[in-house]
Amino acid sequence: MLRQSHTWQYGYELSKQTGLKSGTLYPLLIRLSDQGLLQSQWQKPERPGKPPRHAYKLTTTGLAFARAVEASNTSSAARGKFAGATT
Amino acid sequence: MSERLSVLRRIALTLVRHAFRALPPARSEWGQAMSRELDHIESDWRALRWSVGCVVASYTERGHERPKSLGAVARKPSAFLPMAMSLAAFTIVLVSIGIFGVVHETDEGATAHIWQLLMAGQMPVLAFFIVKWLPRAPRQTLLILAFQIGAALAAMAPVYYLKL
Repeated sequence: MLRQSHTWQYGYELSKQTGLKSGTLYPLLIRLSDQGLLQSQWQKPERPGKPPRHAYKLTTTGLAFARAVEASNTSSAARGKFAGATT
Repeated sequence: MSERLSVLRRIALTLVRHAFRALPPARSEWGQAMSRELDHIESDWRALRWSVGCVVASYTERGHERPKSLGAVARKPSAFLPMAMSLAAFTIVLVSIGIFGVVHETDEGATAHIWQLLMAGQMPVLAFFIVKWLPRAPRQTLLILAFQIGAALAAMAPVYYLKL
């Protein structure tokens, strides 16, 4: 979601991208939405005859949070590599 | 996807509908969101896997539900079962006294055994009730716990005072 922060994404697409099953993905999306990190909206179907879809995008706060988490993960990975190299 | 729904697709639809119903009402929009995705999954197997996940997600959400009212907590089986068991134990003692009178026997009869089973049997239910609901709804849980303890004491009172 961080990579495509400006585009709305659907649940099934997110599931395919992350490899998360719907049983794991939706509780996560619900938690993120409750915490104001995710925004959602119903979007008109791309193909006629299909129902509207719920689409998701990180909010500004969500985006900042995701970037902070990514930065923290990167720095811990770098620290790990450095520690590995010195031992 | 063929015009006629395959068996797998029909199972998937049934599961998704169940998932929708299982969700707490406040989360119904999410139920719709999950079920609408099914129409955009071409493969029937994937649709089935998706719908199984939807059921898991719904029950996960149901598990996270935080009841707001006392009535909502009181309707949980672990809330009313201990009280019902205490009431049953109390009734058994009263009925036994009504039929046989106050009898002091060294050998415990069937009434005593049923009373003991009812009182001991509610302990795990009570423990489950505390563990599950105290963190989610502390005030309501404590109030119901007071009623449960009151009911248990009421069931014990005749046994204690009449030295049965």
